[in-house]
Amino acid sequence: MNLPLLEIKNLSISFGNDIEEHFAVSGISFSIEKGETLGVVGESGSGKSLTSLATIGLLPKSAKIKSGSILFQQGESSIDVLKQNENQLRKLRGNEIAMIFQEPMTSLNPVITCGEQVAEAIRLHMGYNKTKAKEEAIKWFNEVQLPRAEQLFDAYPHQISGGQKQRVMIAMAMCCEPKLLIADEPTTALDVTVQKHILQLIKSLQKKHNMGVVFITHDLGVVAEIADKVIVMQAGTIVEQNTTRNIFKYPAHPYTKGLLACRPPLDYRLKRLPIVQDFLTAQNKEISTVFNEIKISNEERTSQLKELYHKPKLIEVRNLKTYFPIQKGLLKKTVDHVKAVDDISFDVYEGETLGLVGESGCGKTTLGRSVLQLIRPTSGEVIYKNTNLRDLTSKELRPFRKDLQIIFQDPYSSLNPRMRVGDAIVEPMSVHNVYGNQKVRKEKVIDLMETVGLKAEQFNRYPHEFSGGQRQRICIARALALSPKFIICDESVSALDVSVQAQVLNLLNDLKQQFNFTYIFISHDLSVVKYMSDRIVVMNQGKVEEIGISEDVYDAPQKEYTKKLIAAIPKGEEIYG
Amino acid sequence: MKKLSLKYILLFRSFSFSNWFILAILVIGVLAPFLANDKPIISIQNHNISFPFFSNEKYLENTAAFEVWPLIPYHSQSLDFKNMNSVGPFEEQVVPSLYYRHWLGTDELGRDLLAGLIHGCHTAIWVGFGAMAIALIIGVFLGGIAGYFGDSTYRIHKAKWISCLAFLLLTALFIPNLIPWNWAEIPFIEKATQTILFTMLFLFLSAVLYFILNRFQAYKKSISIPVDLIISRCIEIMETIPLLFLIIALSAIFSPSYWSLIGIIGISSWTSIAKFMRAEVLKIRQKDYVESGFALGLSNIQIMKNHVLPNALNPIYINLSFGIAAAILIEATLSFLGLGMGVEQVSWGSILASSRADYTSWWLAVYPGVLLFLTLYSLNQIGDKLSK
Repeated sequence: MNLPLLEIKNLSISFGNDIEEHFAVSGISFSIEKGETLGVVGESGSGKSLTSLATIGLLPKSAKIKSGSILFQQGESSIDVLKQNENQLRKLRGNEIAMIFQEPMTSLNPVITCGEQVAEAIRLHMGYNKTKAKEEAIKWFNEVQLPRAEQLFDAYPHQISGGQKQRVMIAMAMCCEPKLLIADEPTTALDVTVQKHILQLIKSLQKKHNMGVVFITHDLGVVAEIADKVIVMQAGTIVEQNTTRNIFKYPAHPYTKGLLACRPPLDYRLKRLPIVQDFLTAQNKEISTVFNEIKISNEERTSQLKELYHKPKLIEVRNLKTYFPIQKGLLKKTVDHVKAVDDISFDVYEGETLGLVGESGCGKTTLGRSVLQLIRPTSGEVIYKNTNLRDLTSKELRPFRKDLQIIFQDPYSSLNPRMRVGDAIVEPMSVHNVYGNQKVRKEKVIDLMETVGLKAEQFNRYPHEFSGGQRQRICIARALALSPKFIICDESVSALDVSVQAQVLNLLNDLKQQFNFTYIFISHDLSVVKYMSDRIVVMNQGKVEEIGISEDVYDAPQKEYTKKLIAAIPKGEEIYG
Repeated sequence: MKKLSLKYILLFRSFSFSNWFILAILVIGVLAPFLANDKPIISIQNHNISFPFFSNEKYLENTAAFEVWPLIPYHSQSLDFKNMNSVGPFEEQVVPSLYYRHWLGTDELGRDLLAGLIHGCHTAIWVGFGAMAIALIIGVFLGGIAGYFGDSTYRIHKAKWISCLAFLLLTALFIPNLIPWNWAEIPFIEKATQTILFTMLFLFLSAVLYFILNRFQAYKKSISIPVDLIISRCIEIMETIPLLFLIIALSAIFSPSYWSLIGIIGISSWTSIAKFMRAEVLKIRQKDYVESGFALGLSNIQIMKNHVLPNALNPIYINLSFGIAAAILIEATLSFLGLGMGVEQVSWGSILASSRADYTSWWLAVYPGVLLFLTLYSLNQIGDKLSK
């Protein structure tokens, strides 16, 4: 008899008590064979992570399993993971089923060397002695293609990059040669270029060791690169289950279609991004018909750009340098500088969206903050309204702050958890004393909240009551409170799911039409930047690699670095049609 | 994230023994004069209603009148001459009725122990909360600005900085010289006016200095002040001084009274709050919402008030309950050593001290000891619970 490696039957997981029950996962069934990769796709909150946690018996205490079984093949028969006790589960974890988590920064212990952490897992599961475990760990470091494996064995987690940390995590998960590897959004926190390498690594390891892999992600594009089979989850149920090829070629469920369509397309320009709701409301709409409705033709685009670059310049950045000193020794002598922004000049035209793209650590965030003088640049000029902002003191800058705004990456930490969202939006208005009195301001805020797609009755709620996408809307409303002329979006959609990302991007474009803003749009994701911007600045190690009209940069990149970035974008659609 | 706020602490969302106990101590402490007193609360005689309780005159007992007495008819200071030389709670007592019985016994002078403990609650609460209020104000302020400004962000004009220093130096040098040998005999008003007048004078002098210096270009430059460095070193210096010895030394200089004791304990225990506050503010300062405050053009004070302070106070609340316990313990220790607040103020420590003279009277040691233990235990329990 040929048993599947893992079979989940009619699994339901719920939260809450007897009075109020909320099903996070309701009645899902799927199976995975040896040597197969299963992609699990869904928005956050769709129950995909809970399912994987249940598989290795790590459900949070508040979660209750209502029905179903998780059968894991062992030898000739299967065991039900849900019926195992803690001791048996411990044997199962690591040896048979291993897991890679989303956040490599926090899943490694910062006070133990990377090598020791892997060696510890080997000693624990394989029963090797110290020297043998070290040999084994170095072998695995080589296997996951870490450079200089011997030296990295003694490195602490903070000394290596995010991608390398994720490789260490993979080594740790793989070292006992598990039959099943669960990867829970392993590349979400990483750059596109690093993501590509990690995906390739998981793929090659899977082939070599003939494992089953469950790959969880919110991004269908990533799944195309790695999975053989895909299940699409929505609100705790499986809406579609098929081979990857069929999912991309003939998506049946409107939700799947929505997910496929809401990634910014690379080869043509759209007026706005289609969102999942478009497909849910209009049944049986094909992706291509939706795209054709909102495509912008080349002629339209050329005339748009022509008009745009006849407008005056809003901001001129000249030879901007921001250095951070490296201090050493007892007396904190400055021995060197980190050149985060190194001699950068560009102009921003009125009504333009300027995209800023590069890997993490290339200085794009520092550049954005230096333009706004949130970090004081070392030298150079930022000219706005014939004033060099760098010459002003922080008090003199305050009136300029009204015009220049920023929207941050992390919607969770950019709102004060103890301030009602309405008050948070009123605050900048009362600080700059606009709109006369508090009553008018409140009306204005309710207007704004409705503009960004929130409800007036949410005025008195606290930030923790909102989802990530809603919070980003609040942040946008807060930035708009002073009706600025220029907004920097610093990775504003990177922390969001692809489907929510599309909604927020649409909102940003609608607002631009309505209020005639100028944006600098910072992101590590070239596809998003290309969709949003008129011109793109490609940055690498504090310097500008390339500036140009976004289509030109994408179609005919001049520099190697730009080519590398373009190659790293997950291109699910292109692989399958 | 569990929502932790002052409201949460005051409402005691989950009531347990420690919460009930502290609540009881609070109620008893606040109502102490009404619970144990040797004057009736209301006295009605020949249609004259009087409140002897609120008058300072000595109450003359009048059997004809209708009176409402407190629960325990003794003040902590009232002497019962019939039951002198430590009568135990279970021994025979010379009392007119059961109502007048000393339920927990008396001490050497015939003072009722229960009344003493009740008034001791009053003292403990005042010392605990009063001292912590002072420590909280100093600690939150200093810790807050140390964490917020750090070592390089606080910039000030050279002229301003020099005149501020001059002002501090003048005050520090001259205030002690102002104190005459008969300082204690001068009435308070005179002392206050003198101090204020001289401070104003110094302020004026340093202002003049500022305007003179500001005329020179060289002094208009702004320099950064390592606020964090200065305050952190101050905290460390404060912490190296053994607290008990400092308090003993200080209470030897200032005549030990209610308020001076609160002040001394408060001033010497702000360091832990300041350290917590500094660490918390350092953490919050990295948050995006602080930076977005800057981007929106908020001033330092607005960011501190609206964004940093409300988020930084959580761990401080936790620290507070441990701090109150420590302050009560310090007060008890000082009173036990005879350095507490005068004879007229009873405290648990002073009752414990009186048991030293008479070690056969176990009740003088056991009851205040148990009360002190339970109070400290409960406060620490609450602190532990809040920190979870």
